[in-house]
Amino acid sequence: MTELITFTVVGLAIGSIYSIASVGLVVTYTTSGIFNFAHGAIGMFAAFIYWQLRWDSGWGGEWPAPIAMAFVLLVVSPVLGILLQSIVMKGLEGASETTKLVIPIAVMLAFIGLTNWIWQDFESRIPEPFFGRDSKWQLGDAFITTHQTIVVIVAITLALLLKLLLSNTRTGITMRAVVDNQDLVRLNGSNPNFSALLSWIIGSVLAGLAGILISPLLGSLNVLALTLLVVNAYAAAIFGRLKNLPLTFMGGIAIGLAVSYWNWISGTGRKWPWLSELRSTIPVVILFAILVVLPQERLRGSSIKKYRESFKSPDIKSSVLWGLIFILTVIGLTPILESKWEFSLSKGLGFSIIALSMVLLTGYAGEINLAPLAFAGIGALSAYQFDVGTTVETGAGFASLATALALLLSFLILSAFGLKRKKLWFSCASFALFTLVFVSLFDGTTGTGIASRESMSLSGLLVATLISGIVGAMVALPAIRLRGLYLGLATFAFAIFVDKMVYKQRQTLSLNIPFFGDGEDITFNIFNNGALNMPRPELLNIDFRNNQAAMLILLAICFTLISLMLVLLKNSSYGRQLSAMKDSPAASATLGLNMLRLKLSVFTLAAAIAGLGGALHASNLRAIQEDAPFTVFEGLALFMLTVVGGIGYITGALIGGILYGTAFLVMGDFWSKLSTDWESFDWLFTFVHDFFLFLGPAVAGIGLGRNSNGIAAQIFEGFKALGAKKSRPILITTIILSITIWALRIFNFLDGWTFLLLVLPLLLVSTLIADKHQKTEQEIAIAWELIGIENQMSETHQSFIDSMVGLETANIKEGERELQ
Amino acid sequence: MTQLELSGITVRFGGHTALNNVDITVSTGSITGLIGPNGAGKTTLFNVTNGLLRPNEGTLKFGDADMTALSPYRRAKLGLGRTFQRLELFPSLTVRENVQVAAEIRGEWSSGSNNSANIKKNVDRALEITNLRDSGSKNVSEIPTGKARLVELARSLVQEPKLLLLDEPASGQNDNETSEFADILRSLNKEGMSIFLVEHDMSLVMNVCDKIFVLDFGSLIAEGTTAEIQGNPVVIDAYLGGKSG
Amino acid sequence: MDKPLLQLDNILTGYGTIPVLHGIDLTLAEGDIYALLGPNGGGKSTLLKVCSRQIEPWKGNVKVAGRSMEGVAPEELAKVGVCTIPEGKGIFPNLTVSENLVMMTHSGTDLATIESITYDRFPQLSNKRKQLAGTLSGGEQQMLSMARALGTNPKILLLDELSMGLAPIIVKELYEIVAQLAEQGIGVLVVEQFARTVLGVATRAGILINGKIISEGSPNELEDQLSDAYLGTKGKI
Repeated sequence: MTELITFTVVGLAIGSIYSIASVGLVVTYTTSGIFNFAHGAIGMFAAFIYWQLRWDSGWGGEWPAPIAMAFVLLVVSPVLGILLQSIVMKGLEGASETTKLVIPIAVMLAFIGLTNWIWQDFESRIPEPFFGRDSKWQLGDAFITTHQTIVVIVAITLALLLKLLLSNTRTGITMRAVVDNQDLVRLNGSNPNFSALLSWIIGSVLAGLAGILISPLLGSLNVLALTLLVVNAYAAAIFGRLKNLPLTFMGGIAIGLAVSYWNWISGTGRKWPWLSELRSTIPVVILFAILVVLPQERLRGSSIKKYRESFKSPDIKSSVLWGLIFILTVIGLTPILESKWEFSLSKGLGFSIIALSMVLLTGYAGEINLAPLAFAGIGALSAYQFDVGTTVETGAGFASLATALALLLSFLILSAFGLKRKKLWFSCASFALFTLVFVSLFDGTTGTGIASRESMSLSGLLVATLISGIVGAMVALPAIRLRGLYLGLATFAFAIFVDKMVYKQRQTLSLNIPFFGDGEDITFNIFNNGALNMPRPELLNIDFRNNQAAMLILLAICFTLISLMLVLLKNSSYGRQLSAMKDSPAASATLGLNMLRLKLSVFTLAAAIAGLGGALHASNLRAIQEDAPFTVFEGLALFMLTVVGGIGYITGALIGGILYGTAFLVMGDFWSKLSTDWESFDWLFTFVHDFFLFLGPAVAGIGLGRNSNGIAAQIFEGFKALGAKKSRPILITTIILSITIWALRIFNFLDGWTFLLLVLPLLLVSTLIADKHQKTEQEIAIAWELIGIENQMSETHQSFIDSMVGLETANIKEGERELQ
Repeated sequence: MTQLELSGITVRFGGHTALNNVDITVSTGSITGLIGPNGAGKTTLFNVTNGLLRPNEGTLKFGDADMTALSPYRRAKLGLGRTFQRLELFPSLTVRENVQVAAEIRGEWSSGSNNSANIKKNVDRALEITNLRDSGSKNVSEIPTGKARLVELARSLVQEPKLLLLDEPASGQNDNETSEFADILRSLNKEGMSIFLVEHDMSLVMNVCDKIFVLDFGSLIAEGTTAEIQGNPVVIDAYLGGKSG
Repeated sequence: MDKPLLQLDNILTGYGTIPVLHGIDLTLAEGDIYALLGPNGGGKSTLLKVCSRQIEPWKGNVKVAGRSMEGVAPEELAKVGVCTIPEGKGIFPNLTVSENLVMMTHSGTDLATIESITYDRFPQLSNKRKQLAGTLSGGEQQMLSMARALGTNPKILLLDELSMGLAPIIVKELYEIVAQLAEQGIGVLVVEQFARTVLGVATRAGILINGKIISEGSPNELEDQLSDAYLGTKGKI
């Protein structure tokens, strides 16, 4: 009885906090149509500021709790809400689903980065509960802390206040009216933007409150843990279907109770060691389950889209050409790069390979996956366990397991390729046979004993691909009906699940493979002690362990090969079906397309690519930890930057990966070099350095995430201009200059920085010149007599005509005014 | 012979009844029209017919097969094609690719061969019928609505449907295009394709249809030949509102 | 009649790059009820949205009482006395009847006035104040949306498909209200597909087909042409 009371009270308290957070989330979602991924991060940020004011003497002494609270909730949070709405989120209503996800994700990363920047040093920051840890009262034999009591009272009061606002004031009624029909609100004479602003303020105050209330329950303040705690409230918001506030509130309480009772049953995770991390995962498991169970909206067509993403499909010939140019460029760079930079660049390329999985899944097929790095992590883990796992006994048993996986995987993927029965079985069987031969012969895995190797084997990579592909299918299968935001949230939940249940798993897995008896078992520690030392590959007698340049080239080749495969795919019937599914699900179904099969196939294939990329990336890094580089937040950042790069293009993946893995580090390096060179400006350069390091990705996301075609599209325009006949001289000059600079660098006339500072502007300027050159040509090429008759008249056209007939634009306007 | 038989179809959205106990049959080889004022429930009826929407009550038969519980793509396999009132083209593909992907999808489930030569032949034929040969390489987002309607038609044609549902194919077309469209429909019909047509352009409906159903407020209020419908006072009332005065 | 209440000069607009209206001229004077008729897809609702400033015309000008409305937001227009009741959904279905009335106060009229006018005029609504508007009958919903025209004292009333989905007797009742409003000097522009109901009260009418007003005149003159326009009795081709 005492325990029941204690755990119920704990559950109620946590649940109340979840309710507060999720209600805030729902209020902003309903009035603005934006699912605020940054909600958790705002709460976290508020908790840090509150701690700073209340418990640290740094900012004007330790403020009394009520004043600190009031300052955070009545000044800081509202200001954040206003800034968010008026600078970042405004004008996103008509944006694409991807953009609507990317911008809030960027904001979330911005808050995380900002917090890490401000509170840099590793001091332990311990927020105390209200009235201290010892303040409690007794109910029966159970003790209830004052903090818990306050939390529950605050939540109930807030719920009542919110109810009062929304149904008894004109402002609140208008907010609800905006949800019903925004246009009609305008026709009634009210500006819906004001309601949206208010909802962002309320949302951000509630997030802040949740953050402050929950932080004492965590012990020491931790940026990511605190963010994730508030993220747990997302399940409650989905429970209320993102619109029903009472249901959302109840959902929050229910999730809090579920977590608390699970702690009770499992002895805080001690009873079942395998499930020890489930206590922090229950909310996302519930989130996933609710999403899967929730009835889905019926198929809709493309006509509801108001935006246009125009990804042009590349042809194979030029892709091969560009692939070769890319590999040659990388090879050409190796002699002139310091090995530190080689490492940075290969890190970027590793991410780029993983990002290719998103090009396929999101760019080509229109399905959103926010867990690319979870699949990558599973791939890396599988490769590790296969190659150096503590006691993996490889042999016929393992080979047969791999063969079975290969059979399943190829069936899942190939069944959507239009192969008729016999052909399908033949293809699957061939792939399985290939796997069997590859795994059992190629790497001599028939031996028994510990297969601890010093190098990553090709079959290790294959196994990584197979396993992550199958896991991808297992995630996709229940979530197959989900689309857009809901699919994003389901995969997000999966990423958190992997973070906790796989990366933090310390148990030993034993597999007994049937039919291959004695001793051919697999036994391994899932994630050792939170770090795995990944081996480098060894191929063709090249030692990749001590040769970073070789590793870099290997990654470039892998990237190119997978890219070419994607280009082939894009230009095939399969690729066209993906486009059809993405553009109009309703029409695709009407034409007889089995979309469930196609989705499952592409999801599996993308997860397999992510797994392969993850294994390669991890091998390049030599080590992975439980908190890097495959966590949910890093996955979100990579997703965001790939969108910035242009998620519909191979080049977009390259840009996304390089931005994330290389560019911001190099830029940081650059500024810190400057700060040592010019010590008097140290403060400025250090500031810029920190800015790029902490906020670079987030700022790129906020600034560029709106352009759904990405940077890649702009680059193509530039290169297209450069490739045009008229621009030949510019092109040739550029090539000659580049090679000259490269040669100067090789013979050490230039240092690395100068090289970079010469080449990058050169490429930029030449494309700009070519582009400008071409544009003027085009403008003249349009028969100007027909403008306005055949084409809609644009402003440039108008001014063009004006200049042709010798009139100043302004003059015409003046003339018009006079006539009126 | 009956190609399509809808019996007792009722659809409710919340408290609003969009379709109320509607019975419609389309006989094999006919061109059947469905008309009615705005908001009468015509597109809803099409959505029910091709499976994008499940009716609350009622059954659907296609030929002899009961397809009430089938998903849209299974209905397509039975031989049911459809175009959309609000265009549902694939804007990231060219005109030709739009038609090609339909042929390829069909290739996956039809018993016939799905080799590329066959697909090419089918696509060429569909583009020929719809006079789109010259527009094949254009992006579908660049072509005018009238042409886009033809692309949707061509896309359905490569499926070789037994019954084709056309949802306002003439809206956005000019008079010339509409008259060409009517010719295409007649020749398709001659080749044995049954057609079920929702249309506002009465010149098209009255010209090509053998039989017309009239829907108003979700209920069937009249059915008959073109002449019968044009002279039917109930229909005129439905369009013009209750008798004045 | 010195300055027309509402004046459209050569309005050209459309969606995306597809033009819907090709040069519409129209004037509305005090006390006018102008019935804009025509088949679906002709551009009637688009024209109404141009008047209410929900759609920015590509070319041409909307003037209210002689002043150009260029750059004026729809919510500002509502405050200067242009009351627009859009097609089908003139109400907020998830708000109660009295909350719907609260929303009408944004135009500047106080709640007490709106309530007394509404409940006097439509006594059956006064028993359902706490009911969600979406659960009212179709006729009651349309009464509720008409309450805005009655209660907020507009100068211009724009009505889109008032009769849609309603029994003829209710439609008749609603148009009687429209007629009374016009007598008080309000200019009314009505878009209707169901032509006959409105022709009884209209002072002028126009037929809009394929983005052009093909004929304009008194209701009696137009009635004969209508059956043709809708059912194509003398079809083309």
